[in-house]
Amino acid sequence: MADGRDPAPDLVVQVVLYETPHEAIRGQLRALCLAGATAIDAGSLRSVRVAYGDSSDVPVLDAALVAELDATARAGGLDGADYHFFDANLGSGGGSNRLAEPYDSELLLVLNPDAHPEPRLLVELAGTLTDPGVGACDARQLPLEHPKAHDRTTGDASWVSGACMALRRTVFDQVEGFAAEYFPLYCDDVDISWRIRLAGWRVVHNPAALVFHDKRLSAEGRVVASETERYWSLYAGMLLARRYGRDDLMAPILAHVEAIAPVDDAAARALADWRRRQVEGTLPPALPGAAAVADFIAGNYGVMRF
Amino acid sequence: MPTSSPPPPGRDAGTPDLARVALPDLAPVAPPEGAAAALGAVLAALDIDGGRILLVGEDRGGQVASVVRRTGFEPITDLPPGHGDDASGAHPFVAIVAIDALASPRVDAPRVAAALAAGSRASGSVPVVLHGPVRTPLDAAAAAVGGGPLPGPPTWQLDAALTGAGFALVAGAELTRRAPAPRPAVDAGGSGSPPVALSERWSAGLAAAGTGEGVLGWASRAYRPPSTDAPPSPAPFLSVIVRTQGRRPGQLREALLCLAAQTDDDFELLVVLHTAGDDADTAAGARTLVAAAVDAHPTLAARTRLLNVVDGGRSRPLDVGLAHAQGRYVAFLDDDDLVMGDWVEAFRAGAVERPGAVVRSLTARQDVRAVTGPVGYEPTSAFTVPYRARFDLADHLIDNQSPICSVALPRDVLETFGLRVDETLPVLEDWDLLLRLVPWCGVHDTGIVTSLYHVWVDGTGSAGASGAPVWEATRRRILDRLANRVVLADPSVGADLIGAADELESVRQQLFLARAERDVAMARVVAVERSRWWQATLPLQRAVRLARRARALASRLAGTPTAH
Repeated sequence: MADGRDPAPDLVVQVVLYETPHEAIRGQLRALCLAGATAIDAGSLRSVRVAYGDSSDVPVLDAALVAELDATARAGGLDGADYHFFDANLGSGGGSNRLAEPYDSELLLVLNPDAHPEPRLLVELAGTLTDPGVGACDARQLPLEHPKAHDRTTGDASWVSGACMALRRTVFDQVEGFAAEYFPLYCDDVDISWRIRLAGWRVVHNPAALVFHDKRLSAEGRVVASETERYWSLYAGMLLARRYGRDDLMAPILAHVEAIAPVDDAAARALADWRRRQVEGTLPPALPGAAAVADFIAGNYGVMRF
Repeated sequence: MPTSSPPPPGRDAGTPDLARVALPDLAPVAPPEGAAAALGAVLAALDIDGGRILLVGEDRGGQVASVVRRTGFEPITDLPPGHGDDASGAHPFVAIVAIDALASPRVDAPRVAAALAAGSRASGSVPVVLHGPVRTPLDAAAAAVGGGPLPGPPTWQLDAALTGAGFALVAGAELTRRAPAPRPAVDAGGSGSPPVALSERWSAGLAAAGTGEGVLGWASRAYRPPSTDAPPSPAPFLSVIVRTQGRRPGQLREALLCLAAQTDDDFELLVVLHTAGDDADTAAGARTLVAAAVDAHPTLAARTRLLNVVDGGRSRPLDVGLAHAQGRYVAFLDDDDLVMGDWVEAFRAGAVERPGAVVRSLTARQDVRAVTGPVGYEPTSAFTVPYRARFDLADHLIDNQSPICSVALPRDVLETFGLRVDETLPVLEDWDLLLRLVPWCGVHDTGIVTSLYHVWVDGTGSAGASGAPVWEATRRRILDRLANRVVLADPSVGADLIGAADELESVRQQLFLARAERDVAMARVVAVERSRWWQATLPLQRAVRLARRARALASRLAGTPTAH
């Protein structure tokens, strides 16, 4: 640039769909247009493109709707919107990896289909990534703020959430994307965050970046989780402990899962799949030196604030 | 001069001449301090750069004209000849201010509204501002008992007439001063009291169902004319009234994000900025911040009205918002509370299932504290749902189990019975309104959590600012007033009270039995202690006690636990 500054980066927003309602897609895209245009106007980004990947059994979008979304994106100041039907359930991590292939933008935003960006979201996240040491960052989720802790001054965190995670493309490629073979749905964000940190980058939470994440609470005040999410939570916990060299944690985790398996279908399935992988020899190998970045604290990944 | 200038008002069939509309002959009332600020704020919100403003009605002492001049306009009181474009092609005036049209029951609201609409059209569709005293309608509920037609407050009639003609309320500013309203004393009917006719008691009770006190205030409201001849859009399902002081722009930004992400967007938004006590610069800064926060969401901004309340306590913004609401239901949201994506959707489903009832969802609580930095606060606790899953009036007579963001109120019931927010209450105003409303219409529980209520554990929220004594005194005041009111109840409320009475009777019986058992046991102890055997063995009993203490002491010294 004439003033000597680096030009603003371009961004591809990845949204992996799974039987997502059309109105939710439209509403999110309107919010993305606003956030994208705001960031471009502010000089934070050069361009924004939306890439939809579909892990559903039957395509969620038809040609007419794809054209409508593309037109909406263009009218809203973005470069456009593309649609990729995977014809297989690749999960969120696998879907993101596939969606990264045809694009070469400098920045990626991994965004849940039930996430609704605040107008300044992309300004804030792009701003965080101007720090040369930051490899990935995430936003504050509303209305149910995630309890994971971060440094109040620097924003440094143990991991950043895949519900709304911005990454440098170079970093994404350096760590070879999400480990979809082990974490197709749950804890893929914890895993990639720890590998990014293992590669020497920082992962940072930006509380001024806001995203609405459409989570619900039960009548008892607990975040509502499907059985599938519970399965992956337990299964991924065991996989993470092994992958990050914490064999000392394997016994208590396995004991816990074995204890609840008789009365908990999700735990029973997780235990069965773990043992199958043991027999097959397909458990993840321990990453060298990974224990230094893996924060297993009081049954959580990292320190929780509440 | 254009050859096709619009016809002047008064020449359309059935439309009265704007100049001849008789505005109410109110007793002269000097505008209170702040009325000029209210009008000035509304004129500024119209975003018009100068021009002439037509004043309709009696401008006593030229006070309105003075405000108009101060805000950069030229006040005129006479219509130009022909009442169309002038020779230069310019419209004769850029807005109409109707003075004193809001308060008098003598106002023929449809006629005045028709004249104002015609005048607006004839001058190139200029905005209309209503300015003057307002009065809350305590007589509406009493009239309902008499079976006569509801007089309805002129404020609502004019508002309905203008919006029915396609005008949209774009800005409002209000201030209040209080005047005790004549109301019959409610006699508790104790011994020695003179008998009170049932009808009088009903009237008194119904009147008390209103705000309980007369309110004489001043208001300015600006309406933008319809841009096309398209019929006015139907009322939205919900009016969301967001109360803010503009001091927590970060939290307001978060609340607006949650509203922008609703799965059901059939709602209008009234953001009521309360700047009472702020100096002019602070208030102006707050207006700028709040307007910017709303404008950041174009899809919300298109259905948002920003109202500025410049006086009164913390209850007043809710009351002003309620007066401006046009939705079939009304819900309140403080700027530091958040809602789930299905907040509106759940309210609508409840209203469909039981039309006309209060719809109540569950609210989660999370403790927060203020911190420095861009966010301004941080959570200090996990989510809990400490409120009763099902609405029970008896429970609510003890304390509020329904935080302000958990209920949607049917507006037609509120209007029919003249129920407004009691602006004299420093806190608990939402609880008070709920207690007065529920007997008329009952409650439908959705059973799902749709909002998040933040409790400021460091004392920086409303609870901390008001202090526990204020909360307790207000609670007593609300319950005392309720105790002196005739209550007509929706059947579900009756069932609740019968259930509570049964439960109370059961508890009383258990208490009676427990006391009886205790008395019997005590009698046995006394009988034993008075027996000859007990008296004769007293030395032995003392020796045994001493031996036990010695053994316990020895065990402690030896570091070994004593078996019990």
